[in-house]
Amino acid sequence: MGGEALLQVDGLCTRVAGRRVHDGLDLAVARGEVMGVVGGSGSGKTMLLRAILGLQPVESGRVRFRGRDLWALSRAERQALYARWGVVFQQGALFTGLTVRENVEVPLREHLRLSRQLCRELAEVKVRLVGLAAEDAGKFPAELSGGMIRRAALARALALEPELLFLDEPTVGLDPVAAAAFDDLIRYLRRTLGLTVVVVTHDLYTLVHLCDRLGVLVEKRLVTGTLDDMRRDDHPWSRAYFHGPRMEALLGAE
Amino acid sequence: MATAPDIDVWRENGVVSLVPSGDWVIERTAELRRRLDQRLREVGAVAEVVCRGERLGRLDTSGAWMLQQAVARLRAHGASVSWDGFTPDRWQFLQHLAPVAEQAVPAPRRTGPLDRLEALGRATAGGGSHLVGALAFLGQLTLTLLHTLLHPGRLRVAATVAAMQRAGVNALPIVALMAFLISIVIAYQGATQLARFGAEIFTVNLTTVSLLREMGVLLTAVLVAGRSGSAFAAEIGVMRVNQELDAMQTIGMDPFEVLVLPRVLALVVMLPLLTMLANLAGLAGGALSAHLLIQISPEQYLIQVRASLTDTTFWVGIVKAPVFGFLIATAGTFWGLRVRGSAESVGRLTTVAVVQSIFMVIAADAAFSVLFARWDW
Repeated sequence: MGGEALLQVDGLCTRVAGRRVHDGLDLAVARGEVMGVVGGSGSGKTMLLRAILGLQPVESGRVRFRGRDLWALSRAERQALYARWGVVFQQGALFTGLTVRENVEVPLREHLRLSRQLCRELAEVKVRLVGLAAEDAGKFPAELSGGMIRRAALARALALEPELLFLDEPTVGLDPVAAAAFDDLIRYLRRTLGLTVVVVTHDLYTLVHLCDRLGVLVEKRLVTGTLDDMRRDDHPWSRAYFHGPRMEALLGAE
Repeated sequence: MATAPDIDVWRENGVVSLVPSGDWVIERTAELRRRLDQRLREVGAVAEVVCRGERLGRLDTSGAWMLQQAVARLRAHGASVSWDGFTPDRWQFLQHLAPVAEQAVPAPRRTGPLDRLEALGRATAGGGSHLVGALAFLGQLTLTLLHTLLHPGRLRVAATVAAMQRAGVNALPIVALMAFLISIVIAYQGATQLARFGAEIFTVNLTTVSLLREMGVLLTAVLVAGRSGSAFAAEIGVMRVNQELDAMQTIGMDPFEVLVLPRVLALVVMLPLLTMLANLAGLAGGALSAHLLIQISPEQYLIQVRASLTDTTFWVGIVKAPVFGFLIATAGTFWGLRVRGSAESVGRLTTVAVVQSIFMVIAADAAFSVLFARWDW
């Protein structure tokens, strides 16, 4: 933990339908840390993620990954960079026409020159790594439960051994058992693989137990700090969020 | 079974009481409204009203709301209304609906000529934005094509071949059948007219020339537009809704390379092939009609076919095929990429894709006709 920022966002400004969503937003994620991004509904958490990933047009600002300005790169360089990070979308975003294993193989085939057999084997490794059973690898997304879809999406995100992992509300809609299992999985993988993680979430347990630091989206900017910093913060929204009944109950039970 | 709701007005000792009775539930709201209007008119202007709850049966939120609305109306006319005889629970319940009853539900805005003008303006502006989008799309497609030509390894062979199979091979039976039947239709129509001049034999000329020059390629294109144009738009549209396109981009895959180009290439290649099949099937249909209508043998039919053809008859038709294929595929994939977020959007834009591809095919056909006429083909 600590050290130079793996991901650095400076002065991000985005606009949607004439309305400004982010205004001079800064974010620094250090190598090896888990950064949780929280904010009220509609505050632009998912849009922040999309803007960093290049899925959303941006008015101004700079995103640097390992010190390199993302949008100053050529298309080929940027494609190569995408191999260094993995994304788990909110509903998994698995390719519905492919099985789980084939989904995991997609990034492998895209970026590496591997034999079919080797591709298959590497994909199997990732599938096991996220805790899915061998017979799940041959199933189609429509045959999987919500928790399994998230795990399969995680396996695909980890296919190319990324350094940086983005998770968009990974535990939403999962039952408490599956949610806790997913948190544990991320924690385990982060330790064993040395991942840096940016997780957009509302799950208070994830925030308290998985995240090293939090970024709170307030008034179109990000206020970062540890959980204790947030609990000391004066902003009315932060107070309502970090001192609300659920948070108090969670921390009280610790 | 709900008992009929009613509301009575009692007057005793100068005190006016409003007494609801029966079940004030949602199934009865229509009659309640009538009753209430009637009774409130009867009550007229009054200074003090007591609302009594002893005789009230079941009460749900709709009934409670109507009661509170009536009370609000009385209050608006200057009456002071008090409550009596309601259990505490019921009174609480009624109080929750008081603020809701106080806000009048606004009547829907009627659309007027100004709204129609606005709609027209929006549609025009939208059309303009679609046009710009279409140009951008064509530009992106061209760049992707050039990139693939320079780096042939980037071509998604499996996706292209799969698209060729679905759009081409799977369409063979229906295209053949359609061409066969259409040429029979044309033959029958033509033969009746030509018989008047004793020129039945030229029915063969009619079917052959119209088939090879126009009908074969045009009808095949319309069929493929309906089959594949809609399929392309729907597939890509649903991928947009499922965020599969986003996932692709974050994996570093270019949707143009992976989805659009294979489909465009597939139709550009397969449409000429399907057209040739359509031509053959149509000629077969012509042979059958000729046999049935004018009793000529297959050998005579073939001789007449050969006589009616010139060098350019076949080429005039077939050269349009790849162009039509290109138009259909670009329309389908373009609108698929424009889907935003909902099932309704997928359905609507799929329809637009099919209609637009058919229209563009016919417009292109017209342009070709003019062009070929000028060149004497």
